[in-house]
Amino acid sequence: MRRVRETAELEAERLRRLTRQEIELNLRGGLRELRAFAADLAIRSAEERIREALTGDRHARLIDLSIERLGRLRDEKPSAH
Amino acid sequence: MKNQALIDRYAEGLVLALADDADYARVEGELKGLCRLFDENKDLRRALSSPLLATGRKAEIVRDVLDRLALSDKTRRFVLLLMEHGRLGLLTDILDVLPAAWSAKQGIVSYEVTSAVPLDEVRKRRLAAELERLEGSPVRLTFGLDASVLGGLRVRKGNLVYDASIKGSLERLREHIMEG
Repeated sequence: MRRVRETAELEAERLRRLTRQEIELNLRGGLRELRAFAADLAIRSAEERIREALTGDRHARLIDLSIERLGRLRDEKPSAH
Repeated sequence: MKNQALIDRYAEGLVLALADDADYARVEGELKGLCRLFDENKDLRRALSSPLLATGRKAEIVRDVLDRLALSDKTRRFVLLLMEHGRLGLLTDILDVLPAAWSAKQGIVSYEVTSAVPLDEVRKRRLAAELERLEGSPVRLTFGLDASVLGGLRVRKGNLVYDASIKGSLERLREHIMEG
């Protein structure tokens, strides 16, 4: 009888551990998805606002800033494509 | 998926065999003509890409086409080499990188510049001067427009991209948010 109870307790503990792991996994996945959704929303909204705000002068200024930044290329890490 | 390293290797190999600008222009023109021929001739394209046709027979067809077009020896040898290696399908991609490979042979570094709006001549010259200063050698710039960069510039040298565009900054911000 004691043996049966011990086995049942072990099994219950195993199930509790598995459930905890599954909940943690789901929670982490959910957070990842939520972060991706928030990032996508923020970036899209920023893109729209920037697009609306860009005038000819601002484009020219941004290009000037890019040229200045490219002038400091040696200090920056390029991305490989 | 494109094997860019392989494409670059064939282009570099070809330009090594070219003597001067006239030689380059002739071979590039002939290869472009050949590409057009393959593009326009559906039967020829189908025959050359058919798995049912033996490689030897395909080579015969290509040789026959080359004979009829009376192409220069360098073009002919290059196309036959591609054919023998089973890489004729790379010809269009090789042609895309050929100008950069030719420039590189002459010590000129090629950059592709992408912006949302066209650059005026003053800014083109400033950019070229800045990149020449960095490279310590002449640069050749090709300019393209892409509204998705939003603002600023994205420059590409070979497979390296220096992204100084607004889009690039936003993508870095996205990565930052994702990392939490």
